[in-house]
Amino acid sequence: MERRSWWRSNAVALAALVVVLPATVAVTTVNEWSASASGQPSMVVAVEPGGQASYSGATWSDARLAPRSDGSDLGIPPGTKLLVVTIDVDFEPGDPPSCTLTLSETTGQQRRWRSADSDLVDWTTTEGMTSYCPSDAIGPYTVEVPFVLPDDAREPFTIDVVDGDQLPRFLRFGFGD
Amino acid sequence: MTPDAPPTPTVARRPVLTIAVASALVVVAWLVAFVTPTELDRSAPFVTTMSIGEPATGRNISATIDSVRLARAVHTDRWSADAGTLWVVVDLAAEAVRDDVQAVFGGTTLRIGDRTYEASERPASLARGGLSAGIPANGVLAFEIPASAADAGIAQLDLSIEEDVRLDSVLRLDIDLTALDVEDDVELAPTEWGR
Repeated sequence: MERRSWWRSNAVALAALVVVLPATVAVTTVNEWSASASGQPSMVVAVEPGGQASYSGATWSDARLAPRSDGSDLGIPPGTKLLVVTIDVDFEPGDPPSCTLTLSETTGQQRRWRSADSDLVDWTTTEGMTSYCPSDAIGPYTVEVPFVLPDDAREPFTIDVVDGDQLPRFLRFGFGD
Repeated sequence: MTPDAPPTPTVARRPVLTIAVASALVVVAWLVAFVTPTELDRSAPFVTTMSIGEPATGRNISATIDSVRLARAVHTDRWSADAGTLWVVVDLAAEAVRDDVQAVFGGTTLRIGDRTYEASERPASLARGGLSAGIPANGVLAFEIPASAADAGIAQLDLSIEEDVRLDSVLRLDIDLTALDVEDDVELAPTEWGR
């Protein structure tokens, strides 16, 4: 009898607790996650295979991921393979985008690679293309980036394009799924 | 609980109960304080013990130590060190596991007693070089230590992706320096990629 009266006399406070406690957890969680997510590529702008997308004031289209057309391996290490990404970039005059490209596995070990440097490949960019997004570009161009992957890397792959000024938004092209 | 009041059963039980509950709480509080992780524990790295010839894998680093040698001098094809110190030469293969976008071999230290030595960046080596996910870099790490340091016996080799190992993986190898023969001059192998 005594216990019940305590519950009853504190009914308003208890009811408030039921609302306030979950609300506190929710607000702090959302705060922390959004702060963390805003600094990294967490909002995907997905591009259908063969499609195009608008990102960072530019139009990104005709993304291709393929072995080098002449089949040469350009001195890559044993047990690896070379894949080359090309993307057409068109933009408003005077406002070229910047970009960093990474390649990811979407299944299996879900590994992620940066573009290959001279340790891994004797790479020369194809005439008329560029290996990065030049800040002084004055017209449309094709960016061409080599990736060296271990032989056990399997499709489907995605290519993520990140312009640091656009975070947390980033562009994702899917291949082979 | 007036001393004059005749003790009724409830009043008589209360002090005993109070003391028991209070003591229990003190004991529990002490236990909680005892098992609470310290500031260091809360940021401690996750250590994986290595042994020579066996691949060891952490969160985003995997390495296989092939050999550990001790030498009075080391050289590459275009560089050589003056005599006077000792070199601990570690031959190994290292790779990133999941993500090589920011993977630089930043944590390469050798602890002997109270002192910690970083892998030398004087010769070309794997120290502070890029690692690739799934593609091993085969090469060396060379630690320059005082000639007397090897007498201390046990050295601890720690490998990690970041120099800051808080809450990250560390691959650790204990090395008995007194068990190694001291070679006169060791050639440091150039880095080669792939399996």
